[in-house]
Amino acid sequence: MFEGIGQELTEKLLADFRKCFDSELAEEFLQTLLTLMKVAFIVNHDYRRNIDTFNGRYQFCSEDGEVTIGVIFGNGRMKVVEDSIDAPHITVTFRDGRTLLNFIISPRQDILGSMLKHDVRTEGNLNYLYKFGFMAKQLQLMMPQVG
Amino acid sequence: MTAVTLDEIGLKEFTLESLPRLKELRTQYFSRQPEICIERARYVTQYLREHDDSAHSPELRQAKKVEYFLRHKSARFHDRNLIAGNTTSKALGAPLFPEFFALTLWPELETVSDRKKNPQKLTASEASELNLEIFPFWMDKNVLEVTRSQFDNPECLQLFEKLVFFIAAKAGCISHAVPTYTSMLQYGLSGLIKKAAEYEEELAGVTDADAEQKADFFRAVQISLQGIIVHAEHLAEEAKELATVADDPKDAAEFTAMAAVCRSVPVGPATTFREAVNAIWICQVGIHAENINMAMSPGRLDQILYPYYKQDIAEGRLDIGRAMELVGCLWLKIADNVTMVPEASEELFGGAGTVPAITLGGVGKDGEDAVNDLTYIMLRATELLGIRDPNVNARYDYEKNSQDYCRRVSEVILNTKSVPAFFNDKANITALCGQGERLEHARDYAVIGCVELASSGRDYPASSSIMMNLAAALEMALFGGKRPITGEEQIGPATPDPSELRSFEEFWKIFKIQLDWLIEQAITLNEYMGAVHQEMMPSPLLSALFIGPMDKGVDLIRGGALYNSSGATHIAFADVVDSLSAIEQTVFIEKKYTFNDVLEQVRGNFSGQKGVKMRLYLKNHTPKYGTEAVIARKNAHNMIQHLFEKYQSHTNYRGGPYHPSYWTMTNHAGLGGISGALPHGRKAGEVFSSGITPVSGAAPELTACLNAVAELGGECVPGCWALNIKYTPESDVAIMAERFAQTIEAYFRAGGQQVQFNIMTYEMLLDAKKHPEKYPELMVRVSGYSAYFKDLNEMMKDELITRTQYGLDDGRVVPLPPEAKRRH
Amino acid sequence: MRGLIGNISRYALHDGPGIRTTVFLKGCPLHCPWCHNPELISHEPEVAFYAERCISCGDCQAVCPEDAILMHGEKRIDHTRCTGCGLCTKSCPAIALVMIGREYELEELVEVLLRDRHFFEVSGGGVTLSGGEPTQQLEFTASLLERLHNEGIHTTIESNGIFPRETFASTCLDHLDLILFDLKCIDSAWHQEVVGRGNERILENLSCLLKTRARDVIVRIPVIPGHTATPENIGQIADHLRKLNVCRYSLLPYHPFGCSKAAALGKIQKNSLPEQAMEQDKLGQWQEFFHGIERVLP
Repeated sequence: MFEGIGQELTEKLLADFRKCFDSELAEEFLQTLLTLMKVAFIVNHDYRRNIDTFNGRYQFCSEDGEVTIGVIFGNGRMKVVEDSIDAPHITVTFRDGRTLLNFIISPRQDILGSMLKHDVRTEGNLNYLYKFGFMAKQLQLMMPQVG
Repeated sequence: MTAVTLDEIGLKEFTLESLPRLKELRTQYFSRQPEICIERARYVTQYLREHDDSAHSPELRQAKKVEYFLRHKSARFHDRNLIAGNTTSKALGAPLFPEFFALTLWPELETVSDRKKNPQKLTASEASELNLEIFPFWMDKNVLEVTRSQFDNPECLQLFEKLVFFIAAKAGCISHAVPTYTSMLQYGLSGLIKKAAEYEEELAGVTDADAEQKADFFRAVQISLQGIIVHAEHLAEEAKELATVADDPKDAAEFTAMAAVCRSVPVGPATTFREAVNAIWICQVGIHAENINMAMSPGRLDQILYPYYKQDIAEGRLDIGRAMELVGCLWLKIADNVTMVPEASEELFGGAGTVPAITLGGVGKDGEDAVNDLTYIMLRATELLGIRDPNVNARYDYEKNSQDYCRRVSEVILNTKSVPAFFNDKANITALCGQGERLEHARDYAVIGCVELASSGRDYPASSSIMMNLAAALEMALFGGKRPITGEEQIGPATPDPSELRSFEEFWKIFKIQLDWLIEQAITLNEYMGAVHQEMMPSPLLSALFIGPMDKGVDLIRGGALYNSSGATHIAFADVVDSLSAIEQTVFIEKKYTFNDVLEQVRGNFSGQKGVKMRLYLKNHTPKYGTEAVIARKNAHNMIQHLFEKYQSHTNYRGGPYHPSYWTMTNHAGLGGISGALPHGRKAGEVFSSGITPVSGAAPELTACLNAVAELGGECVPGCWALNIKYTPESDVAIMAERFAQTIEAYFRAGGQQVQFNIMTYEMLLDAKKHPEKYPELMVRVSGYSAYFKDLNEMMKDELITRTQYGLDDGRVVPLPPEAKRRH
Repeated sequence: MRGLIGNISRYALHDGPGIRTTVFLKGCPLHCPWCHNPELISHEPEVAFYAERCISCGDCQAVCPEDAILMHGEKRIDHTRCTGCGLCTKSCPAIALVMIGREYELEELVEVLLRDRHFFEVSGGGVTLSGGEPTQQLEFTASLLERLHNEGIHTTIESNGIFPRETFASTCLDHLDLILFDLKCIDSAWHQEVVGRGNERILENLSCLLKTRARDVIVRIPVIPGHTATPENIGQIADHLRKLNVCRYSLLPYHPFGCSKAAALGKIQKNSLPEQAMEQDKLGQWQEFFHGIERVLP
């Protein structure tokens, strides 16, 4: 699935990503996910098709103000900035890493449930979030499975 | 004079054994796993990308889009059903409507086929097509996002997106309508097209903008109906092809016959019962090309099809068995689609069908008994099939319809344990006349989706426009415009701290301030979305099957129908009424507790010994809706009255009134699950009661319960309600049916509008939860529609288990077994 | 005018034709060991205690003016001290303490009974007065029956047959559509010993009633193992009924309903009674005694 020089790095990142599902590393979930996503776009041609023609601006913030991350897709690339960005399509404010993980990805993706419980608040166009959720899900499916 | 000629209205001689085709189709139906159908999403996207001309009117663009899809739609025959046509390309399909919420499927594209709860199959190549081709086109183009950008992300929309205050259903559909098929059957679609062309012609010389718009509408009608005709031709071609390759000459003959039917109808007038049935079905397919599969209800089929049935019987072309076979085939066709439900929505909507409603019996436009032989044939088909869709409803006029009819419907309910639901003609006709409908139109009402009412083909009711969470308003009244779940955010007006109030009337006023504020938000958003629908999603095809649009030259979405209501339903009615009564009784009358005591315990979820004590006191000693306690009756009445007046003070974007109603689908479970404790002793997270039904366990006496509900009925509930009653099944169905029928009649005489049943015990449902494999076909009434018990989420299963169960041998509550008391 | 009512049971199907509301009046001159409604024997309001609901919060003790609450052991009420004021029942959050018996104004009761008029009309039902012994509050019963008859409601009475004949005949009878008349035993000495009164009045009242209203009387015989259910007694009853030209009878199979209700009031029913209910189909051997008389299901 992954070729060339990226293989080793990707596998390490995937392993880190998997650890996020164990509770102790949930806080780093967003960082890990974004790094993995970025590498995957570089090394995996099929995965890159997701953003070939995609323009999207995402703002992620933790409720306590500790985390502010912007993610920008454009020109077939993904850019991560640790700051507020202009005119995001969607802003996601989450209580903690665990709730964000539950929201976006797993074990049972629960976007509506998270919103109902107000673990996560969003402002903006949810379709961007659905697309982001799909890209995260694809990575999750590439993860080494626990035996 | 009755039109019934049957010797035995139960038609017991007809069984699944004597109707092997239905037996086979039914078995296939239960073994099918739903598949997601991307066909419509593919072709409408293709059309918009490559052919759409934004200079055209919305009606014309929509018609061309729909016609393009119908022209490309596959024509398939999946089984030995005698009726041609499918709503999707799959045998049991979940169509995707990217104009609404299809993109919620995105995160699940690779997992939806195998998810644990209600999987829906999707092939890898189709998933990829959605991901790369179809979904990206719609990022900013669905109704919700167009509304957001057009109205600058308004406050009301953001409030809706919190999901815990109200639901603005127009983001997902309008649908919810009952067309009329009488003209279509009489003139054929070609006749309707001809009429539209003549109207267009008449406008040819006129040059004002209004005339141009009308001419455009008539063109749109012709184009969209042509789409149906083309699809019928494709069905005919495919059937003919299958006839030539069939090995068995009997199969070949059946395909040949179907090809002939599809050539004759719906393009031309129907000449036989079979043609009429298939013409209606192909038009239903056409309707689903334009509008999403949500409560697109065929209506009073026992009336519409009766002339064709009668004529065929008289001329010896048809017998009862064959008629029942065709009706059964139609029922199974109507059940050929499900809604696409993303896993994330399971909480709120899990297990819901698409709720196309069929309405039987009642009175005709002349006010006389309209029950006929076909009514009983349809009842028997419903009884034999025991499937979730169509949602079959029985109208009953206790003065005009026979008691035999009432007893027969009762017997079907006892045998299926859940269907049909019963509707009271007297109360419902009164409710519609109260909305200014002409008497003969009100008498021709049909049920839409869950329970909503509309004069057949005359009212375009958008009956599921708003779903209002009354518990949200109550919490906001308790906490000065905030809700525990949304934390410190000031949501509604900052009303005074209730602990400073001196009378219950002051609190009632505060409650109304919060409630009215929420209603205003919901209506504002509904109006915005209505405007977006007018630009994005007109319904020229559906308009052609309505009374009004063709005369006015105006699409349904612009107010073309004769009546143009919008519906708003309410969640947690009983819980909120009981909470109001509990406050009135304990804080202001008895002064047993201060308002602060109550607020403290509500915040703390009745924990600790003090909390336990207060909770028991509130549960056991305060007036409950569903009894005849004076305070409970007053508060229930005031709530109904207030909501009626509030909604009626608004006129919607189509020029019609808002109709309040009381049904909840599965939202009462989902929203209950995330709501805090309430002052009537309900703990945080417990489900709310469904529809207009009293809180579980709060109404110990059956007759008192039915009286308390019935007295709310009539003019103030034009959108109708869902009352859930659970009865213990008894071994002697005949004796039980008698009492059952008497009880319904008494409830109707007292004014009750609707009632639906589950004939099952706590124990049986507990067992079905524990051993789903033992109950693969167990169908239950949820709130206005039926679902398979196994498909429901855990919370909804618990809600059904704990619903009050009455014994029909003594009218008393059967005590809940300890096992069922464990709540989430 | 006020009556002391123990309970109002709606949607009653076994106390006369159709769907009915049955009013249980308090007070009975007999004390049958098998009584189904032992809480209705006393002519006074009483407090019942349901131990399984109690959360031992002690609120009852705090409000009791008579110091009649016992917080330890199975019993909660010291019935020697309790005056039936009911304050404890109002404060008990768990409804473990419940008042049996409430006074109703006539019109207040009529209003409740008329609420189910639709159910009566569609099923040929109505109102049944039961107890206790409804004729113990004869003036109230008479007025209630008259009111109901004026409303066009079908009326039934369930009686043990002990009532002042002439007053009953002049004030109640014209307003009664059906009389369910209990007959337990023919031997008066037995009657005196077991249920506390001889049966002379009962037998006289029955024979008088039958003279004018034979079609409207159903004689009901409780079949109680160890008490009435002996071939000798049932045979005597059957012979007596035939002699009086009784048209209809029904057999009431034993049911241990009363045991738990008595326990809640701190009373113990005779332990000679079986714990199991008698099944309807076990009545066959007793029915044979009654050939020639129409049997009606209760």
